[in-house]
Amino acid sequence: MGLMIDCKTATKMISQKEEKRLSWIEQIKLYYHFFICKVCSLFFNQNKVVVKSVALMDKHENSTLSEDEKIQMVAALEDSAA
Amino acid sequence: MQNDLATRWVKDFGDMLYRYALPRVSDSGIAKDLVQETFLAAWRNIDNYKGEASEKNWLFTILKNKIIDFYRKASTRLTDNVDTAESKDLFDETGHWQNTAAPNDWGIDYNTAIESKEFYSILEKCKGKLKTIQNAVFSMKYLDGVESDEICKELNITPSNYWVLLHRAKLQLRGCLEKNWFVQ
Repeated sequence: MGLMIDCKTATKMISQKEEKRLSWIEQIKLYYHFFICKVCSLFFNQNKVVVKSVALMDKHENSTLSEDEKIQMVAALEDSAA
Repeated sequence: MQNDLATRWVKDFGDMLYRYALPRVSDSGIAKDLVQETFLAAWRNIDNYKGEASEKNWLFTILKNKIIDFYRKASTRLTDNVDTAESKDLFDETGHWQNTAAPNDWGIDYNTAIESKEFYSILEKCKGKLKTIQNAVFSMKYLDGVESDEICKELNITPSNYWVLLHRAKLQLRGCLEKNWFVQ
């Protein structure tokens, strides 16, 4: 066994951490891995950025329908009035 | 008079509904269709509209149901267990990052929210590259904050499929953002 985990396992544990509390032994393994693996530390931080940004997507969404599309939508409603 | 109502609905609520649908389905054509279907469903049921909820809330309720239906269609195509074979392009057989997939430093403060418009448009494109069912699980979880067991129930997927879909979505999104935004 030991404390060593590979990067594939580390990324899985990072995902699991968002779903449930990791056991203390899992936490030790994960943080020990971060200590020796710069790349997975980066993954951990970047993953946090990704999930946080997704939660802000509504705030940053400013697309609009074109005037043509709106006219078509009104026309579709009028056509369906039977 | 009826026609005035159609015009007013589309004018007052069209963009609002579209902006809600778009980040959740990550495809402008599908988002437009869902908005159109929402108006049509409301139009057909106008006699049943009791005026208890505001028109806006009523239309949003219909749209939310349309989005869930769209997600469910993707989940019914998910007949078997999600393929559990790990993608070889991310990790080698010893479980280490492949050189081409290993994260690079983005050179930002990872604890500060990103405000750049361009970033969010790339995020939307990257989300659009996910499989529909992955995007469904990911959006429900991180955009709408739905609990995991509720997501499994709504989409009728097993907890293990849920988990694999979500984990893969995160790996894929991170890689896509790095490729298209942070490292030029």
